[in-house]
Amino acid sequence: MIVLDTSHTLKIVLEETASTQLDFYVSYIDTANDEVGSNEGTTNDTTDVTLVNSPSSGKRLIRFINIYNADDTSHNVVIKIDDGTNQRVLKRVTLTSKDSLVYTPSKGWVIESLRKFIQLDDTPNSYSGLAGKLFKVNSAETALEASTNTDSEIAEAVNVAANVIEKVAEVEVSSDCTYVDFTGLDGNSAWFYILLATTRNPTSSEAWCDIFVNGDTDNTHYYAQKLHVCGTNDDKERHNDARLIHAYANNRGFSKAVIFKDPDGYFKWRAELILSTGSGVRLYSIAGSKTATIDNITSLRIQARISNAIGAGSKFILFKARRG
Amino acid sequence: MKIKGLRVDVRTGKVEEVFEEISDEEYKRRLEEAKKAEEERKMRELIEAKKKEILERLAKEELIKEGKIKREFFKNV
Repeated sequence: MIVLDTSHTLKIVLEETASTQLDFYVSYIDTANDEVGSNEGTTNDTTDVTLVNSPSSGKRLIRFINIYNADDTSHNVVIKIDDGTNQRVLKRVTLTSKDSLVYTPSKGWVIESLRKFIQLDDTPNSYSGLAGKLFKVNSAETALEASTNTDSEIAEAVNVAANVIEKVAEVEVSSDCTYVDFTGLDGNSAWFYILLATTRNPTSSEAWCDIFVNGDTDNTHYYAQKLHVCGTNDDKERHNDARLIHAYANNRGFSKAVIFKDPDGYFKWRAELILSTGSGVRLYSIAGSKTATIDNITSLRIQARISNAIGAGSKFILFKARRG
Repeated sequence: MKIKGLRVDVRTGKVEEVFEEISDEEYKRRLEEAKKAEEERKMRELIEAKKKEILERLAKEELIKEGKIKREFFKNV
């Protein structure tokens, strides 16, 4: 807040002459008598003009200053504090024609532009109705204009431009269940899917969850090669099934899997698993394949071998790697 | 027996609870398979641990026999 005492005044001066002088208005409060006062006037080219005089006693608290450039050209405006001996520059700004320099204790000095938007000509002069919109340079490359696209279209355009992977599904299990189906997939378009899964097994039996493609839930149609590391021990096995995620009884599991159809049409998955917790933490690495070829990946099922072994709180996110 | 699942349509983002009917035999078979897999996993871990223990003991004995490590070394380990 700008505070004046009995020896200080606030002044304004321009660094050049003006065809039309700049208008100003100031309001303040005097602490000596709690009276509100104001002052208004115009600049006088390069000659100092008093914006606010010093109070006769106590302090004068500046509450509001508005300086409006009524001229048709920009001006360099200088605001100074004068203590009778020295002048200190408080603010120096270039004020474009029809812009205002505003001071309030809460926001300090702010240039308010009525005619412009983001300091470019011919842009919308109001935010009204533009909530959530992005701005782009107009076709004439002279100004900004609000995009008329929807938020999702803009997000899609940004994602396409950035060529990022796209989240296609997200599920948080609210009550214990046995399987999660992802339908409406198009593996020929996506090429690769990436699945992140963190599961809770609330049952009293340890449970594998298998990954089945296109409704084929026969485990004998799949093989999974597994490497299991626990402390300094490890073991390797190949199983005639489609294992993907494992969680011990009343425990938790995590799996990150890349799922795809290879160039000859074989369905495959490659998963890294974390099991258990704390000193019991274990690592599984799995490579899996279906024995027969498929035309496409149209659905995926993550199915527990024990009923309700996908507990509430389990989370799945499925991404596709490519935008077809 | 009914088993509960979730179906997620990635085109619409719709998630719905669905149920599938499986026979009691199928349910029992799955349960037995899971139990069997659990038992096998436990057995395999025991076997792997024992294999490691035996191999380590044999390796130490061979190294001692070859004079590459002194028996006293293992007493301090």
